[in-house]
Amino acid sequence: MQKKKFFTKKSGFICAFLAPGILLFLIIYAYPLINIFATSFSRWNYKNFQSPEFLGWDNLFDNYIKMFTLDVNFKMALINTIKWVVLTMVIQIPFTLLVALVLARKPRGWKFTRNMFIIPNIISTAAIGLIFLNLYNPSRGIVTEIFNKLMPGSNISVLANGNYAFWGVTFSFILFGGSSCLLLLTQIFSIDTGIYEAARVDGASPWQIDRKIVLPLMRPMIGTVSVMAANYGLLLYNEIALITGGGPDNATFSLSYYIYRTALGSTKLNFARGNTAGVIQFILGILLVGFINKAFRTNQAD
Amino acid sequence: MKKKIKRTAGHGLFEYIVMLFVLFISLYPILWVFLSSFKEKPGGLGLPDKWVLDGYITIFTKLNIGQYFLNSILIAAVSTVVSVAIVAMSAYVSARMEFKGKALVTAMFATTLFIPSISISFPIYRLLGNLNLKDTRLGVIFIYSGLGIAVTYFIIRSYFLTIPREMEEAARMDGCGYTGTFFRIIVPIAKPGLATAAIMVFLNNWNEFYFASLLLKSKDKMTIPALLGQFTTAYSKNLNGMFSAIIVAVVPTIVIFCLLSETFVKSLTAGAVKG
Amino acid sequence: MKLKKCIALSLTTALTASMGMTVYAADSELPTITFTHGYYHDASEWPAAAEMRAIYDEFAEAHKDEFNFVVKADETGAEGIYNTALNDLSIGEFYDIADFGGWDIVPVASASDAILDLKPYLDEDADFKAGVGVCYDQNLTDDKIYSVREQIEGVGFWYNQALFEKAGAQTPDQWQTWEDFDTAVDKLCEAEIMPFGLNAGWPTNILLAAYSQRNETSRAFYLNGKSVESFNDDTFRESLAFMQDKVLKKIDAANFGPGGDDDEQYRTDFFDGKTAMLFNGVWDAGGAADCGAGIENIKPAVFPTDESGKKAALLSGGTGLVVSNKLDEAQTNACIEFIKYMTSPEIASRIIEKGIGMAPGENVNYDELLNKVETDDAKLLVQACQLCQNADYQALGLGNTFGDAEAEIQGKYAGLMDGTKTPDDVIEELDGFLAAFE
Repeated sequence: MQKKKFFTKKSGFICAFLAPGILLFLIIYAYPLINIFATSFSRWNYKNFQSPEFLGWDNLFDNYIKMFTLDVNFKMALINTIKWVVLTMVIQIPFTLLVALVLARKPRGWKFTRNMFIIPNIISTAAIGLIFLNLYNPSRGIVTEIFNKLMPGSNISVLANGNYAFWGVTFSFILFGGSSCLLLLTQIFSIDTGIYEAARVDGASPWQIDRKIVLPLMRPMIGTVSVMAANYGLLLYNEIALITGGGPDNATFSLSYYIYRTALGSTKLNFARGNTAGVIQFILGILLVGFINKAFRTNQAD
Repeated sequence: MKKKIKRTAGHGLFEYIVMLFVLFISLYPILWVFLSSFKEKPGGLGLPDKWVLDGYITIFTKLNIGQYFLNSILIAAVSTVVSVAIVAMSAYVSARMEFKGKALVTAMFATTLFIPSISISFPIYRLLGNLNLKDTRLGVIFIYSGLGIAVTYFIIRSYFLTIPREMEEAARMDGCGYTGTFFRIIVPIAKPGLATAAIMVFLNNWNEFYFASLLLKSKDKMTIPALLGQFTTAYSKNLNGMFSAIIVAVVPTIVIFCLLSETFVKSLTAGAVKG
Repeated sequence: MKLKKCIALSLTTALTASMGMTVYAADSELPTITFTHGYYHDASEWPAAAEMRAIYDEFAEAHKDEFNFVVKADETGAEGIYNTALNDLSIGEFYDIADFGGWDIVPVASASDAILDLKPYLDEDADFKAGVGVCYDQNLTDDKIYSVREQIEGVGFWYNQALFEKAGAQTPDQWQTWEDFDTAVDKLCEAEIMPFGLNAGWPTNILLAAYSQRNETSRAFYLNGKSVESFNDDTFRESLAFMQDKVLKKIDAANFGPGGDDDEQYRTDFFDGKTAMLFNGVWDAGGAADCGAGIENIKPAVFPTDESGKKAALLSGGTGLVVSNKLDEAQTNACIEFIKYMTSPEIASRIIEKGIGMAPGENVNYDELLNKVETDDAKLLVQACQLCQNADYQALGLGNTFGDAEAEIQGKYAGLMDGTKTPDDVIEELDGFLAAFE
């Protein structure tokens, strides 16, 4: 009797606490999600804007087949997106972690540095996009000017060349790990200081302590910030829309930008194709989270 | 003598190089815009030859800047509170309790990460139309409460995971119910995590532009990011005004954050779990 | 469903309680029409926007006894109006009447049966038809006209007379054919004067579109651009070869920008007197005021063709005013009244006079306007509009012609310029783009 009551109380609590979150999910996300999946198997463009039309079982994967076999822009977008995801994991996360470990030692000015590091993350991406657009502009920016000082006469126009433009977009976000750094710091400070002292008594250097004690304990949080950072790379949109517009010659298309250009950004309003790319993006995201969770074992931590 | 807290000094140089680099990449872009906003022809290295205030004068005299700020503060603050509260409850349950479909809950929050705004705009627009909430601040607050819940969820959940279970068990021994344990024990301990999440949600919502531009059409309801579009027209561009607008849109965010971050640091150290 | 109602109820209660709802009490006697436009900018930022608002308000005021004409500015501009319209269409709604500027809402709105065919109204009123001018033919699809506009993008080009004279080159007003263009460009290059600045976008597109008007077969291919199935066409290949050899290879990398809204270097250089020609619309007369090149040196021109002495210009109406087909008769009539007002000769003159842009109408008296306007840049604008209006061939711009393929085409200029792409490569890539969306 006692046991049963305990059980109901607990499940009641669980339901009550989960309900608002699930409700929010259902209202804002569930329908669009189903919609994206369903319409990726449909014909849906400006001609039948109000009523997507099912492709039929025989042609079920038409949108997917066309997108993967014929669409050069999609291929470009897919490759770039994967590159950006990898770059966030290879550059942003290690860099941010390094900064967090350095700041955790509380050298003079660490608080100031920590706060300033967050600035690029807290100002709107619209502003960041505008800023970098101007920095890269050959006439009023500084990048061309600096390169001309290093290599006179080089006249580099970052956004006019496909390779440079890719890196131009990359550097408008890749080093800005301030909020991840904050999360990592929160985690470092929550580690029991007694552990450090014991290690120090044993004669371990600060770097050894970081590597042997701090890093393993931070795994769940590193996992979390990795998911966030990789996801940023996966969904990258504002920087591209504002800085390169996908150019030059579509060299900086990302999946999100491809979706925009095919669906809303085209008078043909090819939502079916856009949502097909959305499904691919979604699946990539799931794979990514699965992979990162496995790598950092955030799920087993509890 | 707090000698034990102090780290060895031998690593000072490397640490300062890293910090200088961080400061440079974080501050230079915004400083450059700041200096440029005073130039007659914005851009280039160096200081302005002649300091021009035209852009700022337009913003503060011609545009109803106070109303923009008020709207942004109201919308971002309310939606942050709602969002963090809802997500914290779910995150707690999923971090601590065993129940059927637990993986599903996490998966549910995780999936919201990969749904781009473009894809949810049609259904949301329809919903707000049905609820008669188009062109209202409440409609935007409602949507913002649901944006970015994945990140909030992960932050809060991983913070809950660092809290030792013994604390709740002790509380429950003392006769605290589940709800009581959550509000009296967990929330105070998790303050740093919640504050971190809240700051991030607030700033995201403060900067959000896509839904704001879709849902808010009247001048008296617009939020701050709308400023950035004021100086670009179909046929001309007021660079000076645009650079000034960037500064005006960005500086309050920075100030608010710096002020908040101090209280935040205190709760951070106070909340750190000892023993 | 019950849940939804609950939320609706609680949310609306919260709304009315916390913020207070404004309830508009419209005058029930008179029909009400809401007109939405994107001219929200402050007069100090864009005087044209304030002038447009004044034009709208005067109409509302003049007709206040007949109907309530509510004028509403959308702070997100024509793009915002377009996005809202798409969302509205998805739930079967539409604006009463709105100005979409250059944003093409017509294909989707007409397919959704949401907008009014203006053709019957245009056909029954000769003055109205004259007022919309080129918009009548340009916007005529399947015997219907869904949009007209009070101002259009008139595009020829600008040149710096002093630089042409310095190089001893023939000025554009004397050119008979495109060969004269080539000769003049070579003369300029010999004199080490940069003939023009370009980028992977707008100015280069203008030149490609203009060169496509050179002869009848080329014009026929271009005219069919909206339904183009393959770019594998000899005239198009020739156009690309011209762009590569006679245009892009004449300039250096420093004078070729990345394109996009932000890239205006080609403009700045022209008005600073560094380049001899500027490919941009008539509205850029405003850029000539107080410029380094000296306004007295700057002249408007239209493009040559391969038919000696015949001239071509680009005139694109874009979308402009679109009316819902769900209005009652009184509302519809009010909207038609408004469009007639907007395309009347008085407003057309005012649009040109105030430097807002070019009017589409055939009933504008340019000679009279030329005497009426006072400033030098306003005179330049009138001259430029007149040249465009009198050109022998008037075609749509590249974007209005090829739609989404425009963005693909402009991506290829850089490759043509540095020689990594041949016209054949470009055609193959463009056809690949078309095939991906068949």
